[in-house]
Amino acid sequence: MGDKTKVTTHHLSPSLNMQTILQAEKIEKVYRVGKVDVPALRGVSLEVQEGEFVAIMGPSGCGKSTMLHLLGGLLTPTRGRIVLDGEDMTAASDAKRTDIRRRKIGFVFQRFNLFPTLTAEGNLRLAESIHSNGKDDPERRREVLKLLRLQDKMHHKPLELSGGEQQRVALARAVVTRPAIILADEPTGNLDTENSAIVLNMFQELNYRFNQTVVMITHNPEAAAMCKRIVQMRDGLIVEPAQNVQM
Amino acid sequence: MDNLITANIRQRPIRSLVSVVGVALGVALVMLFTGLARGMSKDLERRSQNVRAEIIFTRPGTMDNVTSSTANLSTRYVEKLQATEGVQAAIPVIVYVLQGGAGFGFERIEGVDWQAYAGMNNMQLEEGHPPQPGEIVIDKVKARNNALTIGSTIALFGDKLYRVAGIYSPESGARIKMPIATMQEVLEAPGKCTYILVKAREGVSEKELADRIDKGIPGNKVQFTRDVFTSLESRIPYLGLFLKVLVGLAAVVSALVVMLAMYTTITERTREIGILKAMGASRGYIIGVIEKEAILISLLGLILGFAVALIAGALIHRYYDLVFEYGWGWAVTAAGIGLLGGVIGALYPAVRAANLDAVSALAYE
Repeated sequence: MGDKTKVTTHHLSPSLNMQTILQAEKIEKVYRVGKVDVPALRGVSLEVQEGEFVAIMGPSGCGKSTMLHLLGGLLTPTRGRIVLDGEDMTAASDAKRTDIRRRKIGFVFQRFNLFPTLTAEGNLRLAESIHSNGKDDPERRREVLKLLRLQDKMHHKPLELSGGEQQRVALARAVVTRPAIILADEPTGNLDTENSAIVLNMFQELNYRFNQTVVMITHNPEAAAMCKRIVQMRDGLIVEPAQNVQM
Repeated sequence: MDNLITANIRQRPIRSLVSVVGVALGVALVMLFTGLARGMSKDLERRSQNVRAEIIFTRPGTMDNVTSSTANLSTRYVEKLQATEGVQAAIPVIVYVLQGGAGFGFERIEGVDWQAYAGMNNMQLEEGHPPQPGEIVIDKVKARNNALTIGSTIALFGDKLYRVAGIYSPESGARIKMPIATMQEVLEAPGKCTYILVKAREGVSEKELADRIDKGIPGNKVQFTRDVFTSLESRIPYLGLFLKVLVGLAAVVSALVVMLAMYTTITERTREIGILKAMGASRGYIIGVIEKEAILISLLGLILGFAVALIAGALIHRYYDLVFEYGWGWAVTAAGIGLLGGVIGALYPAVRAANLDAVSALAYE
């Protein structure tokens, strides 16, 4: 099945027949620090269904960020296997993993990570340019900006926006290319309560309206409570993998 | 424009400007030096074409280059040359080279018997009269460029002032001419000259005449005028090599400036490169972004460099009387140097950026 068809099926029309979009099997990650091996993940398995909104929680140093980087193909596991939307990321070369990221993954970071020299729209267009080799989709861009209530901010540069607005632009940038999954690393970590709520509502809306799959790392129990499922991690292991949240 | 490349350039205007100036410097240097060499060479050739004598008679070691100032040839050879069969006229000339009037470059003065020299080379005085002791005649170009008229004075040989007695055309040889006797006196070289111009009678082969002179007055140097007054590039030893070295240096300067600018840029934008990688930008894409930025900087540098070369050339010509003539060949070379220098200079920083570890780059402060 072509990518475009997949994206249309997965993300524009909610489906009751959910299928596994992300599968991590017995993932281990060991960092070499000097002459010492430091295990960050000790055999983590996780399955995410299409349209899920999953929170990964846990104390600092438990391996959450490593997990997210592995799921996004930014790191390779020492052992184990990660399959995203039918593509084995662990067997892929660096170039192939980059290509999978380009086609199927949207990242949202705690520090927004917008390009300060570009306007909100410029940031979105850059994502589109990377995703589809220079082609852009103004209609999709307008749709996303409208959904995230950024229509009147599209010509503003990041420094002219509030923290909440910047994170909404970052979210818009992640979602504009219709990724199979959004990986969010503490997206409300730099926001006050009010803006956190706004951003989390946006995540929820994207998940609900577009059946957008989201995996979010958070320290914030209130943020986690907005997800469909919470995964608890500790010491490089998943300790509570199946806590479903009543929406 | 709201794209990453132009935005990056606008973000650091001073650094971008320095990079542009660096490229422009290389381009302007190439254009100015080659334009000067070509301009002076063409100017010399143009003026030499109006010297109608076919043969130049000198002592060995004289007239090896256009800056010769020696006067070691006895004018007694004039009589011998005139007595040679096939010679229509033999005219002694002293060439003296002095620093340019504005303290830059050089200027040639010729000491001649005006009537004989003008007659041989079909020159006419458009204004004034032939030079007398203490006087000079100048060509129209010199008069126009230096705003000189009849009665103006020029300081030559130190502070000694010479009055402009006449303005002649067409231009031929040195732009300033004075009586040969005056120049012999000034140089303390009575009865001497630098070379003797020999005009062949009509129908006489210059080759045969040269052989006859060489046989009749052995031990001297008999050259064809067309060989002596050739381009500067062929007469000044290693000028061509010098120009090539200059071109190489310009390329290195451009490449280094762009490399330093882009290297600094990459270091500053490490986090942004991490973001690009997280967004799925390939190595080729990242290298492309940086190379395009370098190419844009280089293009701006080219435009500035050509503009600087044209303006500087015009100003130098105006104030120092040096002639610039720009050729398409060197312009293309300069453009190639600017662009190639930029592309090569940016290559290392670009590859380095493309190979950055995404996670480390994202964590970069």
